[in-house]
Amino acid sequence: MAYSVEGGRLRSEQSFIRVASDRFLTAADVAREVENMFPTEEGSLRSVWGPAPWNPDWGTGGAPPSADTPDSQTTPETYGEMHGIWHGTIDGRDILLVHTGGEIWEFEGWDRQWRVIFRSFDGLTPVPRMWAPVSDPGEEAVAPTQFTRVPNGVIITPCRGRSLFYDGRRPGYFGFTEIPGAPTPLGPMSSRETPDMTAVDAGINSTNYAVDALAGRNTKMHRIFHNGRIGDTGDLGAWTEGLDSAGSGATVTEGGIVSGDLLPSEYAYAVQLIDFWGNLSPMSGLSNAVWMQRQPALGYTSGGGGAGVPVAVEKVKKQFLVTGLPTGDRDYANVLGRIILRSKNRITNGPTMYEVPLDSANAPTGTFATVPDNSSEIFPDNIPDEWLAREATDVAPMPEFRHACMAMGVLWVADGGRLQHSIPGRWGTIAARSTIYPDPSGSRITGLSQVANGLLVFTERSTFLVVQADDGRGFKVIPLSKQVGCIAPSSIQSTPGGLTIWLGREGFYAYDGAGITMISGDISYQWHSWNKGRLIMSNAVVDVRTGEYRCWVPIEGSRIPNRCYIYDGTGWRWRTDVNSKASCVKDDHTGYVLVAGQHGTTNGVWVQDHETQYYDPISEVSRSSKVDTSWILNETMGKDSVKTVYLWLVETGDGSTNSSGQLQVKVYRDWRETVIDTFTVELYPTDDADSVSFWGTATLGADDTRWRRRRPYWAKVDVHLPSCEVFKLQLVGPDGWEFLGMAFDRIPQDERMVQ
Amino acid sequence: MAWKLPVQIPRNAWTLDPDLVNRNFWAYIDEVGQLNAHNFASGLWQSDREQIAQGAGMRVAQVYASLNPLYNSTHSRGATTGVWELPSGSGWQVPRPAGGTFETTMYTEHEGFFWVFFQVQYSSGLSSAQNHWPGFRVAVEVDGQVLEGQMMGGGDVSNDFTLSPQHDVTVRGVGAVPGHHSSPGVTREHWAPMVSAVHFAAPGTHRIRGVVSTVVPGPTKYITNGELTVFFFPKGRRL
Repeated sequence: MAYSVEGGRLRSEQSFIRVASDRFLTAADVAREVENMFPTEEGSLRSVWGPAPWNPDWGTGGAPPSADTPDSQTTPETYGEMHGIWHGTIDGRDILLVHTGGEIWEFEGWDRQWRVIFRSFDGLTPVPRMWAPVSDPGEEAVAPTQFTRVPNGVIITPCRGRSLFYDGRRPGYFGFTEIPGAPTPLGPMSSRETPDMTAVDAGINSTNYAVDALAGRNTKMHRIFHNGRIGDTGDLGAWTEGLDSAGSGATVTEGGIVSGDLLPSEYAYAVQLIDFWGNLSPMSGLSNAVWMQRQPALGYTSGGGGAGVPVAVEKVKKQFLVTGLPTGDRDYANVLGRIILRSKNRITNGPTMYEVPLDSANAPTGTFATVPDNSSEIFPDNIPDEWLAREATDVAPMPEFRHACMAMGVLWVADGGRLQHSIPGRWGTIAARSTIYPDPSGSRITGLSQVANGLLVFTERSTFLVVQADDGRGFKVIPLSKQVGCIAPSSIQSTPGGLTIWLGREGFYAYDGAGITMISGDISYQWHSWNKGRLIMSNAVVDVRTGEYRCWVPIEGSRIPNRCYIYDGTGWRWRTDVNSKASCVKDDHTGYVLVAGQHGTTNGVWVQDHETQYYDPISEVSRSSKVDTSWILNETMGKDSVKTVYLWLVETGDGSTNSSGQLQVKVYRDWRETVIDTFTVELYPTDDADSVSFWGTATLGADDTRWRRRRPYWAKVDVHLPSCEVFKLQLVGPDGWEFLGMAFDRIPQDERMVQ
Repeated sequence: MAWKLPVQIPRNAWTLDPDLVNRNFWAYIDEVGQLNAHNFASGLWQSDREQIAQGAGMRVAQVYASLNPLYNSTHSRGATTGVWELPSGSGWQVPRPAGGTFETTMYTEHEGFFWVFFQVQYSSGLSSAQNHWPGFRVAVEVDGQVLEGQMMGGGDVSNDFTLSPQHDVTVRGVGAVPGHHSSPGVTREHWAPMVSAVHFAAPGTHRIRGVVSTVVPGPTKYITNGELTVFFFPKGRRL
């Protein structure tokens, strides 16, 4: 610290304290504690204000939200234990969601109330938009409910159970967790092992679901089909010889008709469900095979008997019937249709499955589902192999994941130590064979975060970066640290400066795109007071206005994160205005920091750094706002005398009528936490008192009422600390006080030092 | 979501600082241009879009007077407390039954259209056996100008008698319908002429009134109650 000589005293340079450190020896502009102080645009620290209840009691004011159910239009609701909060805009709709108790609520500003979107079935009112299991962990030490924004909605992942989905209009489950049942296709069977050329149908492919266009057959084929279309055909083969031997006189080209044989064929079916948002279910198991014997294209006269007449080979092709089509949950699965999958003739084409298009010659592909409903159970299939152009999408069941994150064009979900990703554009459809285990030891994944160059994947003790593979066709895992991990998934946030910050077991870490750095060394002493068993509940936001990283951590035995640590890129402060179970920043022009938690002991949604005339936060829950300076060293290693402290403040008001309206200056010395003396300082320049007016006493329009911007001023405190090694000040102010900096005068023990 | 909250509420004994007041105002002004469904109370918006040519509208004013329909068990008619008697031949006037009035002033930031709806109920004191076409004129007045095209009724006593008073309004939102008020026990002697008008609204302040007048003396008529409602449709913007 630099000093100047002022009348035999050494006057320190000004200390502009903004951040704090636990360490004994720090720079003079680093405090030991900066609590409940907000950095203003003018460069000062002002005591924090708020919070405001998001939906205050507009009628009576003052009282926190209190009512029974979220269906009342006149009284705010009683919030249960808060577990999650999210705000965003989906398709132009402005959506605010909270997870409270065992319910997911959506805010409806037009009624100044919340509406229940999801709740576990209990048959009670208010009836939610969808009955769905929603976990209520109460006060358990679990991670806050994770909300993951995808382009068409938001995924809601409570601490346990299946994830839910909401697009602002329609609630549903997210993705398909189950594999649908296989269908039962019907096709022809042969009544004879060897053909009887004198029989009506030769006994080949003649029974069961034997539907073709051969004359004399009892076809059930719809007229628009004309012919069957399924089956491979070839030249007349052995059967021709049989016909010849039977004296039928049939020839391959008799009458100019190109005839031939239906070749041996075998087919299999499967089904995929598709939901409202385009998500696909896994493919069902393969059905029983439908097979056809080799069969000549012979028509028979009505009534049967006699030899067959060669006919166009198309007429021997078949139609199949797919029965037992599985349906999805008809209430909430939002199943819009079923995609029927079929092989081509497996004898010649192998087992690849294809999507069966709608029976439309004009649009054989491109339709969203073969069966665009969730109710029909049969489908007559007359789609030829050559229309099967789109291979089936290979899909894995949606796991019961705990973490999700959009990165590199797909959605990533983590379940235990397993990481999987979606198909691009189908965020609720997990690509088969997309599984990655980033940590070969199988450690449970504790968080995901998108960064500029990929996806950060955390376990408790390791960190990995998933990036595009070099060939661009997959992904690869790069280990970043085998020691540093993340312990609280909701603590991960990225700052405007490009840092990704999170809470690990030992403190806060940051990733800047190159490496991982511990950034909380200055507050590591407080680590001892952290409630380690509940660190998973920690949650963070980045304030839009200040760019600060704010993370609530449970300390000193608290069951709820109760201290909000603030990192501004250079150092740390903290605030205690609200306890947070979950937090978010409003994704709109307001940028409000919303906290789902408690003010005092009142559950609710709270808006930081705002107030409303319907709720007085200070009278509801008292708090102190203070700056506790570091121990200021005597650099001469002697015992200097500290004479005067100059406090640079911004005027707040006339608190002389109220003792809490003045700044308390407590003085400590020589490393002992004992208050040596306490001074009070007026929070306005007393020598300039006539030039300002005060709320509560000023009269509107009066000559002596003046509107003035609050101005900085010096306040001098004569502390008179003789012969001290070190000293410090604790400045505790009332609501609204504002601090700029400080300086002090001291007289060295050895006067010669002055010379 | 434009859900506005002040920044900080001033405390007594604080310095009278304009910044604090300004910031609280800015928190509200900041919402201009960002308003959406969450900012408007349910019921404020007309959801029956089929009835509204431009797809949506905001009811910006509704003034009404309400008095029990003018009748009793003997069907006697006449002045009772609160009714407003039409002065004969007095020109356009705003009825004031039961202390109510049908007048409102509003400000529009952008140009658009008003849809004004005005109806009054009256008793003519005539035989209950006859259908009554109002023997006075009813109209909407905007900024001091009576919208003649929307006027209905007549100034002649003969207009009190008509056998087919019902008019079909084929153009939505424009025209007039004399309606039969169906309040308890009322049969024919209480009628509610209604007029509506669609009127261009330039940015600025507008005074909108529902007015009535008689031209020639006729049977005494009493206005008992009525309603003036104004919807505003911002031009070219679908809300």
